[in-house]
Amino acid sequence: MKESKVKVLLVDDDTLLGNGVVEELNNRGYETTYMSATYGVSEAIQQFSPDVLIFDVEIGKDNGIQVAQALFKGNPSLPIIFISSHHDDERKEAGLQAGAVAYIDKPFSVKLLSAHIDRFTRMTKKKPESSEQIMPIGNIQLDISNRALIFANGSIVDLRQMEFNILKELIAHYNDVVSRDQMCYAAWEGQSVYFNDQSLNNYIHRLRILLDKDTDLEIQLHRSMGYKLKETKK
Amino acid sequence: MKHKFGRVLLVSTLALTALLVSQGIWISKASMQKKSEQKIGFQICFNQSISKLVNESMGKNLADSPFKIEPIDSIPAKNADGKTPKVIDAGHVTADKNVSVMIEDALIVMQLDENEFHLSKLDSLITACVSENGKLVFSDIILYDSLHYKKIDEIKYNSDLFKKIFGKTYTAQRLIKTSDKLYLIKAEYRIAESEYIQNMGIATFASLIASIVIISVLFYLIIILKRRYEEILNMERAFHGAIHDLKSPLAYVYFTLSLLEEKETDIVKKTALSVTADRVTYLTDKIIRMLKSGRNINIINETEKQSVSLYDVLEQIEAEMHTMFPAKKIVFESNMDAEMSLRVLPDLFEASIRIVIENAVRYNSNSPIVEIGAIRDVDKMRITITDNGIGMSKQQLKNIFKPYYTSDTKNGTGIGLYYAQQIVKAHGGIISVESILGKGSTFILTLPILPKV
Repeated sequence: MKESKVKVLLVDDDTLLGNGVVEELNNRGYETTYMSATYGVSEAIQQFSPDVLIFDVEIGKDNGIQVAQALFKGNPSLPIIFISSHHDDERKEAGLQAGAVAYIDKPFSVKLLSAHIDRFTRMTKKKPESSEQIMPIGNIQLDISNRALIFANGSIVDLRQMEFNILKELIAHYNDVVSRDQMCYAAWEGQSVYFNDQSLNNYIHRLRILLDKDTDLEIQLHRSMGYKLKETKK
Repeated sequence: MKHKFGRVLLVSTLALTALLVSQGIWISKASMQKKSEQKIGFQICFNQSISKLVNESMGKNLADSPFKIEPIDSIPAKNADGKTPKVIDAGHVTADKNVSVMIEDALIVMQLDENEFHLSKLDSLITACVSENGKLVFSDIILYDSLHYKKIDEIKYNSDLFKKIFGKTYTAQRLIKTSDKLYLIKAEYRIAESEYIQNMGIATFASLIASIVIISVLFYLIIILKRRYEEILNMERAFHGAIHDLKSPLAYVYFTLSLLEEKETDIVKKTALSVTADRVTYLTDKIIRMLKSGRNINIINETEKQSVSLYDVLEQIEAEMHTMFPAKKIVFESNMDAEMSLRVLPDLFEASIRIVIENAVRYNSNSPIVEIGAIRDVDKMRITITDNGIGMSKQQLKNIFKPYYTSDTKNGTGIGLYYAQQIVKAHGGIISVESILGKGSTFILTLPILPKV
């Protein structure tokens, strides 16, 4: 048991999902408290003093953004992460303006959520052991423990296992050419029976789309040799 | 939408008000002209009536005359017959005095002194000339002794109330002044408005009532419309709420699937789980798009379009086909550059491709071969979908894109290819088909790549 667990307060009116998230976050070493209504949240913050507040934008009839705005004024140093099934940009904008540090669309995986939590607690707690869990490259970071890609603007993308394996391999050989065989080996973790050229192409294609926006990296094709992760030429 | 109600009401109220105001102005102008004419007429009538009355008391010739106008100091104390003459001092003649008026005043005073002045006579004279202009509805003529503040005589006439409403009152007065007496005759006559003006008044009144009725009806309609609008809004909200509720179980499913995927060590199961989780995300996205939509498919905004990888779309559909037709051994052959993409509305574009591919698989043997090719031109992309299915007759080919046309009365709705055509058309493209009965069909979708300028 670590000396200081990261304390998370989760507020969401979907109790099935909420309880699932709490259980899984606790399994991963967070200390999570769950509330299914906005009533009494500010008291809970006083009592529990969480490191991160995870807040559903729409709880019952309450507008979570307004509630969060009030909470944020009372606790300006508390990072608030919104989770919501409303994906419209206006609401995201409003949420981020209200003082939230991130806005996660539902559905989300617990990996993505913990990647977001880790991002902020790394900033505030500066835990040395967690630095190994991060591979910085260019202006992005690969979150090893949560299998996620962290962009410079703070947005985080949940990677598929194959995509993650390939990207990890490319980052490990940054600026070097990685052959297709090497990539297949990494992707399928050595289980050569499943190697599939078409799927590999597809994963590389997806990674390229991901890296195309807001990063200074690109995957370059070297004919008959393989692929190379390198900085984008301006 | 809400603001329009108010505008409609405002405009119609303004129009009706303008109509009423213009009508009112017209009528008042017409009646004003008439009234000013009548006013002058009444003053003349009043004065002439007094003069007439005075004149009646005068004799036909000088010898008959019961009075003489003489300087006051030349009047003898006794007349020839020994009687004391009755003298009325009319006052001094000065430049600013009208002698005839002075004489008239003196005569009236004399008559008054002798109780010979009959107010009723004056009233009937005025009534006679006033009646030429209209029916008299009210009159009041009063004689005052202004020195003693005393009412000497009054004659009043009053007809029914209704006529009074549409009437006009005329007033005139005359001060009768001698050196030692002061009398005042005050007249107030009310004449019913002429038929013309009266009718106009009724017309204005009627149109005012009509306007009020019209405005009330408008108000009523707008209230009903507003209520309907609210109802529709509420229904929409309820519908959105229902769709929105679909998302929370999906969020849980995704959460659980991603968790299982993370913990799974078998790479095949892991991949299957991640693909399944992706499907849930896809479903959620679809629900979100449904919430946003309800739009007209004929209009697609350039800004709503997104870059879509054809390969991704096909991969998704191919996986769905394998699931939909588990009994069939489907072979997909793709003949295209893996990185082909185009700017479209993702869900609609996918739907159009899915419809064509589903037809290719459904109307086929148990081992369908679907060949998908894409060729990029300068400004358009040509996507060909060829199957080895049952094919179509010439008659079928002619009607294939018509709504509700289907040769499969058991499973088909006849809407699929029509919808696909609508989608392609909305994107500025063309869909066409070639087919040989018994051999198979080829659908060709041509879509523009460059955005419309």
